[in-house]
Amino acid sequence: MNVAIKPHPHASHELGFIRRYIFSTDHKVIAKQYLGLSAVMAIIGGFSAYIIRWQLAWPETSVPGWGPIGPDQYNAIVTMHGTVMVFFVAMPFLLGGFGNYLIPLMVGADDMAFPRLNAMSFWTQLLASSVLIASMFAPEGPAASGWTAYTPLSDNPVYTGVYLGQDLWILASALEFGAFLMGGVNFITTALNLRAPGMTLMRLPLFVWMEITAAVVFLLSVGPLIAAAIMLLLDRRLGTSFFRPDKGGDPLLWEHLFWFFGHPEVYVVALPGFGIMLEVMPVFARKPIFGYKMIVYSTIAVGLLSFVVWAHHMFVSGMDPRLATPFSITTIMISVPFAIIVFAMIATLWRSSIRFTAPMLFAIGGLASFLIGGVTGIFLGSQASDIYMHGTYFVVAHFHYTMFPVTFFGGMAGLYFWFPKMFGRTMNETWGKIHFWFSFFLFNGVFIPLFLVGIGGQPRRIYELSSYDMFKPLQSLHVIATVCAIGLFLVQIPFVVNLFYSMVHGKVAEKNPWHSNTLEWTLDSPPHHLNFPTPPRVYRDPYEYSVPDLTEDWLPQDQPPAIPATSAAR
Amino acid sequence: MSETTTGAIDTRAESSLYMMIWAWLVFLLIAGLVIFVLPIPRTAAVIAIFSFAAIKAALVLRNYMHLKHEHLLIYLMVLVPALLFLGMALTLIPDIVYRHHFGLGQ
Amino acid sequence: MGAGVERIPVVAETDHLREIPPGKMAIWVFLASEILVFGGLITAFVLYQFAHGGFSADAAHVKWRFGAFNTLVLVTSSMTMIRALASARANDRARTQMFLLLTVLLGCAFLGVKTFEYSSEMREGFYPSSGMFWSFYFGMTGLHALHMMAGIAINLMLLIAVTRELPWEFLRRRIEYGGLYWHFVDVVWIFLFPLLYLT
Repeated sequence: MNVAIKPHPHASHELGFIRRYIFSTDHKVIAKQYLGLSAVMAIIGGFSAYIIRWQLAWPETSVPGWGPIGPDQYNAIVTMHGTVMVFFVAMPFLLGGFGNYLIPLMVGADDMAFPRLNAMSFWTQLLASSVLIASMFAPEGPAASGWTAYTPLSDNPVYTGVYLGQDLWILASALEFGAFLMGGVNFITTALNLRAPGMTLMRLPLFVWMEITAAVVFLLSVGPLIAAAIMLLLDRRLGTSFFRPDKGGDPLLWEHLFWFFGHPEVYVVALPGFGIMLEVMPVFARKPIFGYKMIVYSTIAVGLLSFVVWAHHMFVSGMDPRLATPFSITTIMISVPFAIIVFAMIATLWRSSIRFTAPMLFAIGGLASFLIGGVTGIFLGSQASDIYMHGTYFVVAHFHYTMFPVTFFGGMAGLYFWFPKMFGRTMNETWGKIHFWFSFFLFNGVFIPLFLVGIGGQPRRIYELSSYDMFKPLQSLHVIATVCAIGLFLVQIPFVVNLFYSMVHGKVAEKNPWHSNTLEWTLDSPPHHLNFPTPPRVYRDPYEYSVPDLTEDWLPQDQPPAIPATSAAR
Repeated sequence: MSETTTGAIDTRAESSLYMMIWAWLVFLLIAGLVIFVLPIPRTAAVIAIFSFAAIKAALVLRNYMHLKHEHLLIYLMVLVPALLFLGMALTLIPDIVYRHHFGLGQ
Repeated sequence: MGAGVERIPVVAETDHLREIPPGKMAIWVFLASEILVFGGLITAFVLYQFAHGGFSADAAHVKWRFGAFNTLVLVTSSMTMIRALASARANDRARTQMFLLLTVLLGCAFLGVKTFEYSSEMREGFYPSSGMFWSFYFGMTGLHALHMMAGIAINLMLLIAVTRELPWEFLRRRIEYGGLYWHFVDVVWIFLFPLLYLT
């Protein structure tokens, strides 16, 4: 009834290597392709971060492994770092990778609603990544106007000296939006229409709720930016005057249209990261999630409110000051539903018997770090303090404290947690814990100094500050940050070794190694093409742990309620 | 109008509804053009023309895109973006319009 | 599953969401984000119009008669598109083909008139670089024309599918979804026409 046409019957998927692993339409393979692509892009983004950090700590020296950095090149590298990390690492990792892998499994569907559209989404994303990498080899270098591409800096090539690079940047972003439009359509349709019998909306795992909300927020916010990107490209290539102040255009319009997308984008990345943490925590706390419905409603509230806060990025842009106060209020309002989600997480952990496995450590570490990012957001959300802090490193530290915990800690929690399901083997726990503790301390070591540097008033986006005497005392903090950053990159090496070693030699995983409830754990590890051999039926909520009077402390969602005394009613 | 019915459906009533809607669309188009050509105060004319456009859009959405038979969620998929777009336009008025009028921008 | 299981209802709430065909859901989600693409452009246009005290001097150079004719063409094509769906519902292959072909032809007529308009405006010396109004005029109608081309391509594919006598169940869904997109493009033009030609 709800599956229109099913082209692959179960018998006929004896596909060749290429159809199976490269041009596959299986959501699990596409998810792994997304994960791999984002890992490759993360190397580029990480290397650019290393160049930036080195330049800030020791400005007079040439960067080992790269060479001396000039101001133009510094701008270009900062631009690439931001673009790559937000659009080509965080989104493919959390949405393309985990969303693709888990949504069909968690709702009990055979595949995405539109498998071929899903494959097209990945290949478009690959094309977008290739265009972005190609732009780094453009004659005048890549785009150098920041990841926000503020006009008129990005509009008139005179300012940055970049012609082709900026056009390719626009093209790469446009392709990336196209890829995630296709992906988002798939996510929403799959999660709403292909749910297994009994999987009501209020029995969906929270990760699915977070992914749907993120997809809806993305789809509704990206439109104005697509319009703005078309206008920008026309300005650059056809001589139109949309954002050209000398021809009657208004550069502020770009900032509005960009941040109308750009701020919801933060939640597009943050919500799936939180979804992973919310899946991991009850499993290792052996307790039902606290306030499931409240979390769902808060998620929807975050999604709605995320559309009315964008101008807090523009308090110092010269926009009408009458807009500032309303946007301050909405910005502080949005922390209320988010705080509810955080409190629900803490309440889930409260008085539980926590098992500190690697995924749990990453989840808790991510939550703790995100709290710092959230609390410092209050300073930036209210206009009075933002005017002082906006141009400083405080903002840099703040948004790394929001994006990094959800992407890295959330993503790593997910990777350690679902690795047995994805590859049929378990990762080494000891190395996982080492990976966590070093990453956690080094990450804080990078960005706590930047808060201090920011409060000290040091402006961001400037490639060389050693010529200002007033910033001399802050230089040692930059050195600490850089040393920690280099350490953070080095700690990833044992992780990568562990990852690949475990794929081949890890302990073979059983169906449900973590004793978890959601539907994906009822399948073989890894699941076969067209996931469920028999269509699943769902009888209960996803987080029924430690139910009294049962011998086992978990109760899978598809287990029929055989004992009437422990009925699923809650 | 059930989709799963396989047999032939009597579409005469349906088709005459579609022709009726088309006649209304053409009528509203012509009415808008008449208002545009006649010497009517500009503001009034603009308001009338855009009201007609909105009615035309509503007719197409409700009948040709058969929104009137759809689930509430699909209705929301039209309403929410439309409201977002209106909200965005209204929010930007002080910034884009007033700054230019009072010369604050340049 | 034992007999005792059946006592507990599997579906706790009536789940109408699941009855929406996935394709319909997907096309509406796509259109929802399309609304905001054109919404962003229209917002910018309207705000600039107020900021610059109107574009009537420039707008006097566009030929509203051609625009009005094109509106008529597009509205009519919407009617033929929905009648193609009605014919498909009645399993009437010949009429479905005829109405789809009419829709394609009307779409091509629209693009033809548009091309003529562009060329005559350019002959008079108005290019996308000739000022704010022309930036918007060419940008918005150009984006709309791209959508029209995509719609014509979709309708041609539908026409081929009908001619190849694919199952009706399949065709009805596809014609419905193609139609939703086509009508959306029509609705966009319904607003673009008065915005660009009549104010």
